Amino acid sequence: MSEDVAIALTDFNKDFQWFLRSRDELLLKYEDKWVAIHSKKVLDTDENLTTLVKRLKAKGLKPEQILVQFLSKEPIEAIL
Amino acid sequence: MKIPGYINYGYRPPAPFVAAAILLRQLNMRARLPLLLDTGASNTMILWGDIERLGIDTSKMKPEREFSGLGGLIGAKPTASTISLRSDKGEPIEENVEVHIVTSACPHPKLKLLPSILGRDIINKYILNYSYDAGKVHLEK
Repeated sequence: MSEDVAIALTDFNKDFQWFLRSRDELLLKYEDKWVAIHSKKVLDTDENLTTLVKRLKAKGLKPEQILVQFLSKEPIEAIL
Repeated sequence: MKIPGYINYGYRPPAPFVAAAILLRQLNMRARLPLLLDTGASNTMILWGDIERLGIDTSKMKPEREFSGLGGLIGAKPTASTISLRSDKGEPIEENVEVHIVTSACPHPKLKLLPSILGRDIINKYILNYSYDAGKVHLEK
């Protein structure tokens, strides 16, 4: 693993932890929206994932490197 | 060595996840994604929401396989990949596996909310420690 990947993974872990810890607070602002998060900040949001991904790309960002999660008021119930 | 995971309370009941980086070698694509620790899944699999976010084009990949689940049969194509995880001491841990990319059309927009899955092809290489009451989950080797 390159050092770059190790650093990226550390940053991504921090973002994911931050999202999970901040979920209730984020829900107040972004209920039922997709949120894009990087460096513990919300970069952009949208109700539609396709629209959000297009907008991130238009801004020169790389969606594949960014945490994108849906903030559902009702917790998701699923059997996979 | 321990790989810390996280409990995601956005699911009912809450669900255990790890944060991963993935290299899809055939597609020459690097991505980051949370993966649900799913001992019920045979294989590590990327589902619709992440496929859209990552912009994966499966048209030039290997022939697809069929997997059965509660929702019926779904098609998925295997691709040689390296999944990178991070230990609690910051050590990098790599697993080389064939990750499967779902190719069946997404039957309903709600299914884009489903997370990608870390399956038994990787989980079985570790001890999975999970205590919901203690709020702790980690993989251990």
